[in-house]
Amino acid sequence: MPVNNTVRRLRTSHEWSQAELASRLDVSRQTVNAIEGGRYEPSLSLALKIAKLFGKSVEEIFEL
Amino acid sequence: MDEHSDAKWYQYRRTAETTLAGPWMLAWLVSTIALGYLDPSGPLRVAVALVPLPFFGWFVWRFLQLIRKSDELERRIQLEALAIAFPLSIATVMVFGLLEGAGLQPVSGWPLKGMGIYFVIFYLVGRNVARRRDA
Repeated sequence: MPVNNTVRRLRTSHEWSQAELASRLDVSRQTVNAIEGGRYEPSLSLALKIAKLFGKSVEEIFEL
Repeated sequence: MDEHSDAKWYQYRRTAETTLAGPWMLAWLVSTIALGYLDPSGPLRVAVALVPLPFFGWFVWRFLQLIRKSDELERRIQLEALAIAFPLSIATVMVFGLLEGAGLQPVSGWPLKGMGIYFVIFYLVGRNVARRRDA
């Protein structure tokens, strides 16, 4: 079952590039790109990191 | 990690992945040539035959360092590459073994001598397949 997310929308609302978000999350730009494209589901720790960075809960960003 | 350093990291990764095995392959080539042309005997022959071993150890150590520096997506790609390479290598060796059992040995000594080569080829194939799908 694919996991949808709003990472791209949140990132663009902050006017961050993929590289900038990757830098803040300490992952590669490719990882951010894969998450945004729905090709990769992040680990729980990375999902929590993303949620914390955007000041939201994990459920607000990721949904089944 | 800004865009520039991210690109540099990937450039470094690509360079490292393709050059890490260099010393090991070179040692293997030198060892093979030395065994064939110089034809040493006794303990020297064993020593020459095992020359690639420390280089291989260095390669594994450096490769693990590279993996540990990677993020979770890259680790998954590497895992998928190995998951593809391992069974395919086993299957290839098994095919040669079965053919040999049937008296159809294509090339003398192929199954075991070729194992490393099959693995490297299938690893590279698996890595590209995983990267195309995931990254």
